[in-house]
Amino acid sequence: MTRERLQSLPLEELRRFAERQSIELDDAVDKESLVDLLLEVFEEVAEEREELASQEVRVEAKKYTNGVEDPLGAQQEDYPPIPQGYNETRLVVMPRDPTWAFAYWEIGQDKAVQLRRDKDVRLMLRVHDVTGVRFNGRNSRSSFEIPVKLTDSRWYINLPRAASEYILELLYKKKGKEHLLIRSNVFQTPPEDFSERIDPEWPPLAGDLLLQMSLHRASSAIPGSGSIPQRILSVTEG
Amino acid sequence: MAKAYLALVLHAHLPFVRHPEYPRFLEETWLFEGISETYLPLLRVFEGLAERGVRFRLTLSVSPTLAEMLRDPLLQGRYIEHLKRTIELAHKEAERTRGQPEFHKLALMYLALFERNLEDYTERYASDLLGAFRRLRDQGLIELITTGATHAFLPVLKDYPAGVEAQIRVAVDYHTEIFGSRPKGFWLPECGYYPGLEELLERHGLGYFFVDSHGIAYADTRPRYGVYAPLVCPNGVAAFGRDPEAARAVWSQDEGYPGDVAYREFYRDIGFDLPLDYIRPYILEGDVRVNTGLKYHAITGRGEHKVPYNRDEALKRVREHADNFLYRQRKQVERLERLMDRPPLIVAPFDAELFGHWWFEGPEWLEALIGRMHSDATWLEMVTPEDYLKRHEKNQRATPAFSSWGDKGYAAVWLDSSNDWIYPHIHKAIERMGELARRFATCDGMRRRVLNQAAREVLLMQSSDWAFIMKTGTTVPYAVRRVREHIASFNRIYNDLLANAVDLEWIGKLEKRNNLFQDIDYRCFA
Repeated sequence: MTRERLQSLPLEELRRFAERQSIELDDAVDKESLVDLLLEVFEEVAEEREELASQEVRVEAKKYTNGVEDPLGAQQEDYPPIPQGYNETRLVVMPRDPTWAFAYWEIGQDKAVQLRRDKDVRLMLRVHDVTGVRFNGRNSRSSFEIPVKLTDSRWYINLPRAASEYILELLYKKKGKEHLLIRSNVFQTPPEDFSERIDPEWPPLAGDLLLQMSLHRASSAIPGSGSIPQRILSVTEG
Repeated sequence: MAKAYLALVLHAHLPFVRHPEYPRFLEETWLFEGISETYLPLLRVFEGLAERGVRFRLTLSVSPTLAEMLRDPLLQGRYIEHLKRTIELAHKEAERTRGQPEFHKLALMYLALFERNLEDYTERYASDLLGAFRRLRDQGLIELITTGATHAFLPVLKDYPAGVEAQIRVAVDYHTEIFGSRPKGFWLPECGYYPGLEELLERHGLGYFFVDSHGIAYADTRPRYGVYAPLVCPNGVAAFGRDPEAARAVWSQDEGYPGDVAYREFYRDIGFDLPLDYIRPYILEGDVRVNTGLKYHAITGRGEHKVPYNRDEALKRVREHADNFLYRQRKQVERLERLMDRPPLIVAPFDAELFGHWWFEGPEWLEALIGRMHSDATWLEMVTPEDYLKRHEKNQRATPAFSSWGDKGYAAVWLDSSNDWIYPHIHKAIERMGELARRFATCDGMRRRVLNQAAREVLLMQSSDWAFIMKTGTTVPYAVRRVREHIASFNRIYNDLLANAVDLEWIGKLEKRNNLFQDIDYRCFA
């Protein structure tokens, strides 16, 4: 939330907003002072939210694609409320493309409170390559760790190999000991090249020529790559 | 004997947008523009060709949410009102431009077009556009298929298969009900495919789907024919891959036909160009400028300067572009037939709304193209996927790769920092809906109503459109509001049901607003 943004709103709206946040106002408060006050409140709230393991923070922050922070939702104060979390420990990973996946997680409140109280706890994600392996916790082909904070709840993970299988673990280390919180679903990254496998009944023709023609670099010149989505065009765009 | 096949696929979709609680609503104009600029013009093209004895074969996917809106009496009435307002504006424009011959001609063109739309919509079709598509289907000219119930991008629901199952099942049941026969194929929303999805398609009798080129090229076994023949998954469902050449000819931002300088410029609409006082009655309250559909300029070039649109020039280009498409395909086919031991199949799928709405001259291009194929480009035969499978029963077995036709070819559009916050809620909702469906597997009528409405809310939150809008930044607040509303409504129903304290009046209101899929059975989530 920027000063300009607040200044662009009429005084009445700023007053109403402040009242909704239970901020006591002097009847005679001028706009400049009110803007100062609200900016202070925003900062405080943003800090407070950083302390809490809340998905709502991320939700609010991500609503504004131009990057303008509005932790109290001044502009859209009548959005219906949705759950901040579901009070359970879970970890879900969704492949995004050959070398990226998106993970989101939640730690159940009791556990989260316990972890928050403990200064020695270090939370992390461990990414296991389990391609061709039935994972038993110790037999991944390789793994790496991503330290995360208690206030984190999502991560975009860069994976080393396309066309592979992975599994994620959310765990914490304390005094040298590891404690597994939860394991994710197994997920696969798609290939980014032709398969090595050839079906003897359907051998390729003319080497790779047909395959090369099939790709023709057209895949990136199509809907979405900078051009406007055909059916959903903003009726207010000028 | 044709040298090659062309499978033209049009995918018509709009998300469910219906706001009876307001007298007019901005986002409802997506539907009105779709009808005026795409669906009516396409119907005129198809019927015109049929009447002239030009046989053609193409595949048309009509999304369940679009179909629901086309059938909805409230929206039908609002569309007619919208048309009448636009006709009134066109009359005023005809007056205003009397002294400017180039613009006056165009104002008259639009007036004629809008009046034609009104006449066709109310008299020829009696507000029933789906009936018109049905008739074309009955004549053997178009094959009607379906897509996800609310057009969810399925790869992001992969680990919640009940959600995918519901998207398919509700769509298939609905399509069967309104078109009178089961769909044989499925348009994967955004061509979003993941290995294993074919299992769920097969369960509902669906025989084929479409993927982007790399979905075929990167299949788990090298495809002998690349995208120029389908692959069949181990379970028998066929996958048809998009031809990049056909895609490039039309979609490419730099070289695609729609960008030709003679074609009509989308962004110069009088809703934005003319003074507010004049345009006010035709835009919305709060002086929010909107598109009116009256656009007088040609693309002209990259800069700001735009010349008046010249319809004759544009139509000339249309014919040239139809010829060009055939010329390029001919070159491609000549290469392919030297390499292949069967006629190559060119799969050319497009969003229907590209034709007419974005590319004003699009429907005329289709008409010219089809006309040419019929009259002298007989080396290229129009087929549907089913036609192909009947003629070529033996096809290579392989599983396509996870892919989509979205920007960058995978899930990046729908899995982005702008929209990833929705998935924890959507996944949870699918889980909870499953819980409800199993817990209340049998129940009384009242509870069934509530559970069915819960199912509707779960489906509605999943529309790929919302995440897409959030990523591409058009009407973001609306998309965010929609997702949050459906999440909030669903969770309220969930909590109320478990506490045995449902507010039936509130449910009734929700039912009246989000009234799609009358016959939905919540147990599709079980």
